[in-house]
Amino acid sequence: MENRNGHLLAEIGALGTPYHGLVVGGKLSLPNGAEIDYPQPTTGDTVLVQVPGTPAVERTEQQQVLDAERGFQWWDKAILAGDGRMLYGRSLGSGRWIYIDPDGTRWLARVTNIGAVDLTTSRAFTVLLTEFGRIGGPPAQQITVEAEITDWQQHTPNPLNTVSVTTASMVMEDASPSGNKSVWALKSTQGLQWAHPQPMALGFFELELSGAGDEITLAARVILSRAQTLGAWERTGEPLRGYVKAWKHIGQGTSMVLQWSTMDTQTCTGCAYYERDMEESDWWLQDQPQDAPTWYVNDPPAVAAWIGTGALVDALTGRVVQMWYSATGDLVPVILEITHARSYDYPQPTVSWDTETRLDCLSPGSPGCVTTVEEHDPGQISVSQSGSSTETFSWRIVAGGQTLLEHTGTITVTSGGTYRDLDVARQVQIDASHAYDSSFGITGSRSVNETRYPTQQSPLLGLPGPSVTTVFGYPSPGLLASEGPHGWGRDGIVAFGDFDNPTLLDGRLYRHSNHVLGFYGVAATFYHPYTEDWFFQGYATPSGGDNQARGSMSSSTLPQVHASWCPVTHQVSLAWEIGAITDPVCFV
Amino acid sequence: MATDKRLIEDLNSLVDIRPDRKLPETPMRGPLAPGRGYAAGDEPPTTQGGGIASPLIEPDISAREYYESRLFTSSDGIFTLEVAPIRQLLMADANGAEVVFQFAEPEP
Repeated sequence: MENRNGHLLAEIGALGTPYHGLVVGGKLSLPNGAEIDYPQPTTGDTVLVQVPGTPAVERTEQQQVLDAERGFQWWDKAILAGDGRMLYGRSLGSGRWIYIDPDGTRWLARVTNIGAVDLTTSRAFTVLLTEFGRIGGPPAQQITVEAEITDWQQHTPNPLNTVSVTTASMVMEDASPSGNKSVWALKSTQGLQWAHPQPMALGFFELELSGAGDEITLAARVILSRAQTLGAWERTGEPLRGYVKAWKHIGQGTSMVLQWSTMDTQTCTGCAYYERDMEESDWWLQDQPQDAPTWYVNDPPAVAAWIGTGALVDALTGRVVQMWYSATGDLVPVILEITHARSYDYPQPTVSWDTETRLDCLSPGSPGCVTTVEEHDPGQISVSQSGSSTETFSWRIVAGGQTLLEHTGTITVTSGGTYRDLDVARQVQIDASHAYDSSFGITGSRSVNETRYPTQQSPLLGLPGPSVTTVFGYPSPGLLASEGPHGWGRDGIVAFGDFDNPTLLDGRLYRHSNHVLGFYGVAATFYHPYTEDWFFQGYATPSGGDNQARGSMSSSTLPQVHASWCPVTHQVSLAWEIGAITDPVCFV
Repeated sequence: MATDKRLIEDLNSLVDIRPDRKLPETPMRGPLAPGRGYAAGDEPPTTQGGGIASPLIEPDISAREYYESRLFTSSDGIFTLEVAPIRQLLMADANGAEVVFQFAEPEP
């Protein structure tokens, strides 16, 4: 439009909205530095709308000057901003998008029966299409189209171990630029683990519109089954052969058990069971009990040590944590990959009874060794070991064949020491140093050199060993993805520290918005008191990632952290970086 | 050159014959002589010629004529504004006479 009449519209030379940029706290920042009041989108979600055939915006030099003065930007595309899908400052409604049919007619699409999905039954979708964006002419048309998904392909595996997930919520993650496709995630909040605030995707499905006018049709299809979404967890190498632990129990008398167990089954393959009468100083060797005493199963061990030499690699591949569309409308799965490699050398510990080695044959399948201990053999038990381990771990976010985000770390441990049960004082002598190099922000070494542990405390020699553990408690050699906790990055956790107060290093993804995934290293320590620090490691967006660590934040803040990615300029805004921890941020 | 000069002189000799001209007489200075003045009064509406009588009223909106409509589209292509430039308006003046407005077609 030319300036033919001196009218403002003619002078501006364009129709639409020139107001684009980042909205924070109800203020839109314009390129000329000015701020204007603007409705705040509730989240940082962004959905690109690009009407096919729309010409590139051309501005005269004079118009460019005026645009720069006014802070105007004229785009040949648009953004539906926030969960409410805000356009030109007006919300179109949650879970809605704009479909441009082959004739160029725009339609506002709305799934009328959005809500929880029963994954065991079929589901019919109804999409209401209302002609959109035409000013003038005949009244807007409305069309209703339907489609059905009969099999959600959610039968296996069950990611929650004992929890059966049969319902999920539908979350619209993105729409193609022409709106002919929208991708939805099936998400569940069941079985979420501690300190993991977000549900994970169990599957993805797509709604596709095609045709024009009265001939528009809807198709609904599962894109990824549950198995395809969760990916595969594969283990190569040899796990630790086992461990040795010692328990002591004070009741009517005092009992003590030495147990040699395999890592996999945690069953006793070689046990020595001792008792000492009250007020007596001598230990009595008992025959191998037919049934292991229940008390020692539940009590923390007085001493424990890993045993084994080898290497082990756990790898999670193909876990789809998000899906979005490219600028050309191609569906792009966003994949999480975790690799956790360990090499370790923990030799057979020296287990001695007082100064005499009585349990030297304590080994797998050799329960008969207990016969070497003489009755009325007084004294103390000592377990000595010197070993080392190295763990390397990496998390990657890959989309479209491109690594958007990668984080690696290494923990090297050398440990050695002797646990010596002095019967009464329970003095512990142990020296262990843990050196770990990680950009989690925890660097350096830590040593444990305690001379006295309170009752119920016990050192664990050789930590961190190959100790992928998912819950506090007894380290296990790692869980399969299908058995693991319910979260995005929860399948590979590294533990270090002493047994009763370990620190877990955990890599976690956080969905800040549909196009911004934040990656955090979490260092959680238990008790004394429980603390949890999140170390921001970077983010992944459709236009790339960032591996720069930015510091830590408290977990109580994290669920409120917002971020947004602009599908037009490819800018990224992280709320907490600009001091707007609790405020949503969003590009419009 | 001499030939040209002669030609010019000949032409000048032809146009040099001029009539005897006198300037008009100028009126005497001073006030005008007294006399009766006249002014035009309210004239009755004329039925033809002579101009348009206000007000102009459009008797039938459906009689409007438009040029072919054109579409203004927002830069992002989402919104379209359909506008038909007006081509002709039929109005009636205070005498009931038809007044036709015909507009030029704007550039597309």
